[in-house]
Amino acid sequence: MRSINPIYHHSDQMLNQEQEWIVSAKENPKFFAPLYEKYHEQIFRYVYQRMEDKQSAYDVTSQVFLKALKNLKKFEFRGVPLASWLYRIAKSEMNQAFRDNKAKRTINIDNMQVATFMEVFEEETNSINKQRLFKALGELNALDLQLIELRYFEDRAYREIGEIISVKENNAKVKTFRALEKLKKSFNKNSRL
Amino acid sequence: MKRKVVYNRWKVPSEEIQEQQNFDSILKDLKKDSAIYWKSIGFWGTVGTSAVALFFLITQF
Repeated sequence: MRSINPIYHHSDQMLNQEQEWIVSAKENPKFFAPLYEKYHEQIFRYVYQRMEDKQSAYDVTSQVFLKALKNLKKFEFRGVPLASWLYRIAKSEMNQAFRDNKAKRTINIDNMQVATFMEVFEEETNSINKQRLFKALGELNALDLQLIELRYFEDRAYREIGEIISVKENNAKVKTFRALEKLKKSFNKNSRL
Repeated sequence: MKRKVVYNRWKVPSEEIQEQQNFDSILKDLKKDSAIYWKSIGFWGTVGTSAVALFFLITQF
């Protein structure tokens, strides 16, 4: 059973608290501190999952919070955690770092995740299939890879995925399913490896 | 974009990430950025255009 991400799934009380912090931070940036402490690790892990170099990931994470503070006055609270907005900033900052050659786009995968895909594809977990999977992942377009990472690597709910990529929950589900189909197709195409 | 696949990378411990937190440095950068705006072309362009417009308004009426 899929575990619940406690940082994403907020109670009404937690959301109200977050809204209060945001309102105060709009008046004085120093009141953003509790939100920084709450989300720093989460955003760093999101960035580092997609980057090779740890220091670059720390730099991008700092840029994300700096940009968030600069644009906080424009932020409108819509009853969802601030994290979704921070993820969108993180995506934009990462893309900028990749374009400027300050960081290299990386796909981080572990043996558990490889085993999960092999189960979904009904294939044996061995070194040849592992290489086929790596090649197939490398061939996905940016959005499909993002969806696969969010759902299968980071175990996120469709609602959260929808908020990160700015689509409705159902649409996120459909898009993720299609991305998995493309991955499977590409994996099968690489059968001669 | 070319991608590199990294397999079974060591997970960074939470303690290490927490040690890297530095909110004061972000606040400093924010202040620096606000200060830089005073020196930007955008700022002086706006001020200059407004001054010229005001001058014409005063001289015309």
